[in-house]
Amino acid sequence: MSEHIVSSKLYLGIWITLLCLTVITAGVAFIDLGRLNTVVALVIATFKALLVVLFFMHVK
Amino acid sequence: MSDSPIAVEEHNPALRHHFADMEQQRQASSLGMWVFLATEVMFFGGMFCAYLIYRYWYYNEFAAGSRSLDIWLGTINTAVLICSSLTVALGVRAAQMGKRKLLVILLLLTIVFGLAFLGIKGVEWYTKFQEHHIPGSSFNVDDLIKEYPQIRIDPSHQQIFFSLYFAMTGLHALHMIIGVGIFAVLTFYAWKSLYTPEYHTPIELAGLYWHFVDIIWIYLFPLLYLIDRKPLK
Repeated sequence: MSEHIVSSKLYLGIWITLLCLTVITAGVAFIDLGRLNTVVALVIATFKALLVVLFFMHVK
Repeated sequence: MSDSPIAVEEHNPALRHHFADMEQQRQASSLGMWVFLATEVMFFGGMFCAYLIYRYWYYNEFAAGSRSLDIWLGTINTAVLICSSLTVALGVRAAQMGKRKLLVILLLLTIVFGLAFLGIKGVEWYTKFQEHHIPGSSFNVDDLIKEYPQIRIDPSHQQIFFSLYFAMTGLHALHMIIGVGIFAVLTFYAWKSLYTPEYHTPIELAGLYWHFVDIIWIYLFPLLYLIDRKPLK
């Protein structure tokens, strides 16, 4: 939990990744994957949440 | 006394007397925030659980309701929130480095993104109001029944979807409003130079709260907007 200053490049990288994942999840929703649509949406959401927790919330 | 490092720390005006040093104070505050966020998970968890059960029971109505939401505005709002999380993360970094002006700018940007999100959400809610999709006496989903003849829609089940939609996005929006208020106060104090590299715990903790609210939306977006977007047969 001790404080360390993270480079702003890392934050920008996470930000871009989160934005890309948002576009991907919205796009994939229009493709018929059957039951997998929900699975894919939730996997992407969980990956995004993990990125936020690990990097923005400094858990890593 | 003044030559020992502990004595120097004791002079920090931000250190409360019941803590040994700044680090202990910071960690205690941080722990408190994480405990609060754990209770928030339970708070939202009840709603997510209700959502799960009703979605399983009334999938058709959930699919039709999800299709009636504006996916563009939903996606844009997700992006807006992600941008606000970035400005918060960079704001905490600016505080760590003692860059007062940058911190104030980033906090203001966060507030702007937060208000933009609420504005877009407001537009979406207003559209739903005009469409009579708000649960209550004037609730009407004849438009959805006409639009999706392939899906069997029971209006009372449809009402449950919209009840959950408004309850979940409403509770989330309430958290956003509180967050914007918190950042408004923090911006004022940051502008008054209250935060230093040694003491900026409020910025850090408000950041944790804001990221948490962002995560809630990261799940709300697919669960509400992306239930069934594939072409209907």
